[in-house]
Amino acid sequence: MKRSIKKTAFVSAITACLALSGLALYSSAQNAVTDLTVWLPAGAPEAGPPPADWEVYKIIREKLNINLKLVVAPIGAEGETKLGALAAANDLPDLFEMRNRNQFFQLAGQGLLGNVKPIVKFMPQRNLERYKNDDLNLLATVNGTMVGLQEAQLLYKRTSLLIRQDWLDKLGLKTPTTLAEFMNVAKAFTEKDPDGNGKNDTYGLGINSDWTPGGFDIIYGAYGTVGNWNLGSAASFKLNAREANYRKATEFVNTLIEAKVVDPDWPTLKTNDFRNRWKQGKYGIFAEDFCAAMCSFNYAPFDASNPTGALKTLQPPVGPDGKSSSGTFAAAGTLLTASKKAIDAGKGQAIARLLEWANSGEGYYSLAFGKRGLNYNLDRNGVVTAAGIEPANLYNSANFLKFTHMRNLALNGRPKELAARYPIFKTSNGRTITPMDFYRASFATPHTNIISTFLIKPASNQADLDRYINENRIQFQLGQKPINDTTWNQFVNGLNSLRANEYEATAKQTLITAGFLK
Amino acid sequence: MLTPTALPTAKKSVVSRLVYAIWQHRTLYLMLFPGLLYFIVFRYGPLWYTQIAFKDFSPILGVEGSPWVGFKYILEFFNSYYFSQLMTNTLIISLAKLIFGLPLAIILAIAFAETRLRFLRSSVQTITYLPHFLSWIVMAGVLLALFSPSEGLVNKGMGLVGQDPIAFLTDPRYFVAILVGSDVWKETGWSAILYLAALMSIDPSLYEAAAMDGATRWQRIWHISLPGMLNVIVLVTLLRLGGILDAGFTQVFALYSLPVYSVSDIIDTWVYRQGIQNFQLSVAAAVGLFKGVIGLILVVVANRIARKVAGTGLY
Amino acid sequence: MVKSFGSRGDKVFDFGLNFFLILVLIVTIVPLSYVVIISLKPLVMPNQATPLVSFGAYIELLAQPSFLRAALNSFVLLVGGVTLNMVLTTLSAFALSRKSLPGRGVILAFILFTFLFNAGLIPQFLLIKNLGLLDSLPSVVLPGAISVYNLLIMIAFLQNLPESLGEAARIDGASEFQVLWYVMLPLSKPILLTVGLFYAVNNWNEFFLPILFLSDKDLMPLPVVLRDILSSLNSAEYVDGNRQATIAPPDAIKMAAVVLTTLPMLMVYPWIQSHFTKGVLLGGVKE
Repeated sequence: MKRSIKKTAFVSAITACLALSGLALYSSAQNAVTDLTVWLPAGAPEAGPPPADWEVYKIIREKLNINLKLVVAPIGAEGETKLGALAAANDLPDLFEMRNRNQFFQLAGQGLLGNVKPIVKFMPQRNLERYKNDDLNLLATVNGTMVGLQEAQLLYKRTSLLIRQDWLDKLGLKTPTTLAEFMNVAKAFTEKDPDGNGKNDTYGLGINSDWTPGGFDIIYGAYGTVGNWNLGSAASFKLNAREANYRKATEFVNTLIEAKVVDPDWPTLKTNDFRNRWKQGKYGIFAEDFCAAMCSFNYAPFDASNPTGALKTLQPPVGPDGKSSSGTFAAAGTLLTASKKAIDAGKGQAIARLLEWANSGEGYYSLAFGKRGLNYNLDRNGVVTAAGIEPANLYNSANFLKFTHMRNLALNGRPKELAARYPIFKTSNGRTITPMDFYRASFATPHTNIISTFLIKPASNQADLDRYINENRIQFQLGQKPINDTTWNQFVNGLNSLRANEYEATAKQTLITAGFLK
Repeated sequence: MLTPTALPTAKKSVVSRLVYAIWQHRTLYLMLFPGLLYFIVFRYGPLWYTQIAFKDFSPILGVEGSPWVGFKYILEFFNSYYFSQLMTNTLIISLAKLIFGLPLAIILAIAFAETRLRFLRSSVQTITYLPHFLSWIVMAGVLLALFSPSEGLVNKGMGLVGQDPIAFLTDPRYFVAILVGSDVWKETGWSAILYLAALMSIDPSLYEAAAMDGATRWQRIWHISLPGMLNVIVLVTLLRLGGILDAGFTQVFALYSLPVYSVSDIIDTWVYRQGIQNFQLSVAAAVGLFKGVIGLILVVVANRIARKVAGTGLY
Repeated sequence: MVKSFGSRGDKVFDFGLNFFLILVLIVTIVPLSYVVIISLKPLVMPNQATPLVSFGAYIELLAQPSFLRAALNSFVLLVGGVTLNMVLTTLSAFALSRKSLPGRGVILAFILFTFLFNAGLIPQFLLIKNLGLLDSLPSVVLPGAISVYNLLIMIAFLQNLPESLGEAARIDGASEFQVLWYVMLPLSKPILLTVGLFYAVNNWNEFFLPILFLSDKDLMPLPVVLRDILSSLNSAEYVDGNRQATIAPPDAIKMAAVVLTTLPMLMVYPWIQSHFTKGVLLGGVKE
C-alpha cells in the first residue's frame, strides 16, 4: 500500500517534470525574450556605462533573444562590498564575474550560486576552448557542485624583476645572478650615483609592499619559501613560516635593509607611489608587471625622466640551494558565476547563448574591438589594426573605454589579439619596445605555482593569523626584533596559539582530497 | 463657559492634564513628525537587521528566518588573539584626539573672536578650515612627503642639523603621535567653527558691562566667553565619549602599515579585515553593537557628571 | 563696545594672541602648499624645455567627459540634500528645544540611541532595497537626512536664546511656525550657517552611499568619478597597450583633483564668514 503510494507519487512527479520541461522547451521554441542582468567589474574604472542605444544591446536582443541589463560594477573592495550587499538581500545578478575567492566560497557555501555544469553543453565551442581544464573546474567546484566557470588567466607569470641595464653599463657591472652579486649590485646602485646627477638619491631595490605583503618574494624564492605554503608534498606541507629557510630568507632581507639599499619608505608605499618612484628613476631593481612597466602609456613617464634609461628583465637571484623564483603565480583568470535564482528560473540557456556568442565571430569582435571600419580594421592576416580608423574612434582610445566593460567575456589571449592589445612602440630617442617580448621574458623566468592554494578556505581567524605572520616577519626584516633562536622560536611556537596547526590540517586535507597534494 | 486654560484645576486627573498639555503643543508635534518618521524608518529600520549579530545569517532564509546562535560572534571578537591590544589602541588614540583636539579648537575660536587684526583673523580662519577637505588618502601622500626618511621635509631639515633620519611613519614610538597630530592638524580649524558660532551668539552687552567694570580680557574670556560656550563644549564632549570606540577608521586605514600595527590596529580596522574582507557580516554587526553599548554606558555616566558639575547635559 | 587700548597687559595679550594665530597659519599652510605645488608640477618632456609650472593636471581633469556631469550630479545632491537636511533639522530642533514639550526627554533619548548604535552598511542596504529606493537619487540623501550631532547642536543653541522672545510673540497671537520663522531663525544665523555648512560638506564629500545604492555610473557624484579617474592613471590591470598619455604627471593630477573638489566649498566660506560677526543677537533683544 505504502509502496504504491510512493510509486504513484514518483510517477506523477516524473510526469510533472516532463510536462514542465516540455513547457520550457515550448516557450523557448516560441523565442521568448529572456531578461538577463549581467554584472561585470568596469573595463576601465573611469569609463562611464555604454549608452542605451549601444548596437551590441540591439544585436543581443535580436539575435539571442536576450534583454540584457549590464551593470558596470566598481572595481575592488567597493565592488565586493556591493556584491556582498546584493547577496545579503538574496538579490544577486543573473550572471556575474567574481574576483575575490573568499567571497566566492562564502556565497557558494550559502547556496546562492547556481550549478553551471548543465549549461556548458549549450555553448559547445566556448566549452571546448575554455572549460575543459579539470584543475580549473576543480577551483570552481564547492561541495561537489560546479558553481562557477573558471577560465584560465590569459597572460600569467606577468611579473618579474626589471633591472636598469644602463646603470649596470655605466658602473661597469655584470648582471647579478647569485644573492651575493645581487647585494653588491644593489649597493653600487645605491652608493655610486648610477644616474650621474651628483645626488645620493637612488636605491638599489624598490619594493611594492601593497602587492604581496612584505614584498621581497624574490628573496624568499631564492630560499624556496615563497608564498604562504610549502606545497612540495603531503609530507612537507605546512606554512612556509615554519621552515628554517624562511628564517634564512628573512635574515637576508634584514641584511639588505641594514645595508640601506632598499628605499626605506617601502612599508608605507602604495602601488601608485612605488610606480611613480621607479618611473622617476629612483630604483635600480624592482619587480613589476610587464604591462605596468613596458606598455607605452605606462612607459611614457619613465621615458620622459630617463630618456636613456633601459629596463631589462632580470632572472631572480639564485639561493644557496640553487633555487630561485620571480614570485608566485596562479593561471586562474576570469571566474563567472550565475545566481541560483537565475538557474532555477531557467535562465541557464540564455546565459550560455550569450557566452557562446561572445566567444567568437561577431560577438567576440563587437565586445573586444567594437565595430569594423569604425573602431578597428583587419589586416591581411586577420590581425586587428588601427589603419584607416579615425583616432578618436579607435578601439583603444579614451572614447571607446565605455564600450569595453564586457570584453572580459570575449578576450581569449591568442597571439593575434595580444598583438592588437600590446602594440609595439618607439621611445623618445627612437628605440623600439615590444611589450610582448617583456612578457615572454618574464614568463621564461622561474615562478612558483600556487594555484592549488585557491582551494584553501580561510580560517575562522584568518585576519589575526595573517597579521601575526606578516607583522612578525616585517619586524624581523626591519630589525625592530632581533633574529635569534629565542625570538624566532617564540614566533614559530606562537603560531599554534592562533590555531595555525588546525588550519594547516584542514588545508592539507582539502588539497589531498582534490588531488593537488601527494 | 470658561476655556480650559483658565481652569488649571487640581481636580483634573494626571491623564487629562497630559492630554491637554499634548494638545496644547500639537503644532510642535506636527513639526517634529517628519523628523521622527525619519528616525523610525532610516535609523531604527536598519537596526532591526542588526539582529544578524546573534544569528547564523543565511540570505536564503532571510534576516528573520536565520537560526539564532546567541553570543557566538561577539565572543569570537572577545576571544580573538589581539582583543586587548585592539581595545587599548582604540582607547588611547581616541582619547588622545579628544584631549588634544578639543581644547585647541576652543582656544582657536577664542583667538579668532579676540584678535583685533581682521585680516589675520579671516585669513587664518580660511586656511585652517581647508585641511578638513583633504581625504585621508591624500593626507597619506602629504604625510609621506613630510615625514618619509628618504625624501621627507622634516627629515631633510633634521639632516641639516646633523640628525639621523627617523622613520616616523613606521616606528611604533612615533606613530601614535603622527595619528593624533595629523588629526588635530586636519580638524581643529573645522571644529573651531562651531565654538565660534557659540561665541557669536553671546550677548555683546555682557562684554560691555564687564569692560565697564574694569575686567581684563583674560577675565572676560574666563567669565563670559567660556561659560557662554559651556553647553556646546559639554555637548560635543559627551557625543565624542559616546563614540569613544570610533578611533577614526579611514585615517588609521590610510596611514597604518605592518610595522606599526602593534600601536595602531584598532577595533574598526580589525572588523574591516576580519568581518568585511572575509565577509563575516555577523561579526561586523556584533562588534557594532558592542561599541554602541560601551558608548551608551559612557554617555549615561558622563551626562550625570556633566549635569552635576557643569549644570548642563545632553538630556 | 568699550576698548581699553594702551594698557600694558592688553598689549602683551594682543601680541601673544596674534603670535599664536601666525604660528597656526604657518603650521597649516606649509603642508597645504605642498598640495598646490604638486598639482602644478609639469610633465617632464624628453628633449624639451620643462616649464616651471603647468596647469596640465587641471586641464586633464576638466577635459574628462565625465567630469562636468559628475559635478552637476554633485551639485544636485548638494542642493537637494541640504534643503532636506535643514528643513527637517530646524523643525525638529525647534520643537525639541521647548522644555515644556511633553515626552521631550523620551524623544531625545530615542534619537540619541541612534547616534550610539550604528547599523552599518549592509543593514542600510537591506532597508533601502526593501523600501524600493535602490538606483534612485533619494537613496543617497535620505539615510543621512538628519545628523544627530547637528540636531543636538541646534537644540542647544535654540535653548540658549532667551525664552521671553518666543513667549512675547505667542502672546501677540503668533503661531509656532511664525515664532520659528520670524523670531527664532533670524536670531540663530551663526548656527544655521554652521550646521548648513556641516551638511553641505557632508553631502559634497559623500562617497560610499552612491557607490552602494546607485548602479548607473552616469549618476555618480564628483568624488567617486575623480577617484575612478585617479585609479586609472597608474595601472596595468585594466589598461591596454597604447592608451593616450596624460599631459601631466599622475601625482599632479591627484592633487589637482583635491584642489578642484575643495574649490566650491572654499568659495562659499568667505560668505559664511561675513555673517559671523558679533551683535547678531543684539537687534533682536533690544526690539
